[in-house]
Amino acid sequence: MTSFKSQEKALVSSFMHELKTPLAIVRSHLESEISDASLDTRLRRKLVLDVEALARLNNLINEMNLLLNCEAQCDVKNFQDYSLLEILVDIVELLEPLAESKQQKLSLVADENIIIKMHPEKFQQLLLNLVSNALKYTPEHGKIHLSLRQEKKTIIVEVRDTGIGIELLMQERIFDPFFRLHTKETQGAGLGLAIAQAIAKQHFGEISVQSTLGEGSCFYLRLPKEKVCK
Amino acid sequence: MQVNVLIVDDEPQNRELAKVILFKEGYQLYFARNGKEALSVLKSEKIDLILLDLMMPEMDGFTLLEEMKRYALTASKVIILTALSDDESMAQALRLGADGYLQKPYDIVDLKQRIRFALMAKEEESLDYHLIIDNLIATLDTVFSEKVWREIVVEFLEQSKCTLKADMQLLIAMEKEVMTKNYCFELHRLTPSQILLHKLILAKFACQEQLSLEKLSWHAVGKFIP
Repeated sequence: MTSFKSQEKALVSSFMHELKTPLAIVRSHLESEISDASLDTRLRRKLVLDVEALARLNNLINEMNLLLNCEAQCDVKNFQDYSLLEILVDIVELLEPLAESKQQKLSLVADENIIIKMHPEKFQQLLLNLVSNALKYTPEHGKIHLSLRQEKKTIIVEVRDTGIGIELLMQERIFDPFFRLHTKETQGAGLGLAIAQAIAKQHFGEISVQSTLGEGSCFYLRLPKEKVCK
Repeated sequence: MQVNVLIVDDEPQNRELAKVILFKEGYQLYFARNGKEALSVLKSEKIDLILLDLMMPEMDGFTLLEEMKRYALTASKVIILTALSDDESMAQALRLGADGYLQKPYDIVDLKQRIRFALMAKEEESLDYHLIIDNLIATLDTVFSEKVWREIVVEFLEQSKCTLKADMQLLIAMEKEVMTKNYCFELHRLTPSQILLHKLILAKFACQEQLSLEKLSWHAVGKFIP
């Protein structure tokens, strides 16, 4: 994965910060114009599209900040004991309406409740990125299966889908920032998996993928027990 | 209204698993390590739903179901969560009054849906059966105005003369014959009277040969359900 060096990171971070303020000002001006009742309908439509474009840019900046933040040195002191199962149950609850709208079957199986040392919000982001990706790249009536289990030395979260799959050559690159496949069919900046991988590494773990084009993908999050269970 | 759920399992990790799955649903949770402890909870608390393991020391799940009948403690809905996978165990548990049967390791999404469904069914069972039929007919009147159709419904309901629960089981059995698994999955979201209504509408469509049962998707009839 392409990582930012600390000097570059500081520069990019302050650049991002500087971008946000003028963006917010322009957006607020546009929104105020849109709310003017006497505005021409065609012009209003154009302004609405401009606001949407700015919102996308704003999201991209937020995601970039998140990625930079996740690539930073992990502060284990801020980690707390938290249930991995609870996070998965919450994510399923959150994404079920989306799966339902695509008539997808979302399932979750766990052998037991597993508590690890983690940063709960970041960990939720990691799993949310993995599962929402699975939903995104799985066609209607497809299946997304999540499982949580532990082996002798490792805790494993599996996100398996019956989606479009990833070509073997591309599998190594999908965790790179801004790398995107299927750009025509789906939207996004291509930061979701990079963020997920960065968070996994902060937790001493790693995400890997097995996939067959046209059949589906399986993402494995592996966490070493000696590091996360104390 | 507070919903009381009793989790009966001898394995602490299984009780813990159920606890994590359910505690955000707002249910009041009770725990028992075997049938004997569960019976004692059932005698002192008003339990709406039991998640019951079958293989336990002291008193197993089958015996608990028998004891519940003996002491007339049958108001609770029971969903079996077991490692037993043979048909005979499932048939026996259902015969003894269980409302659902899931094999471990179970799908948590499925379990939560079944729980919601069982609780809705329980609430509906406490209503007057004739009132439910009147409501159904009133709903059908707004969907189909023909007198003939109304008569069919009344006849169907009069002839069935069974409890809503039995209706539901019958309908689900019929469903499995003609519909896809995906469709059965959807059924767990409905109350018995909604399923009944759904089934009647389905039958009407099929009779009119507007659509074959196989082609009739959930969404095609879903919009008629209140």
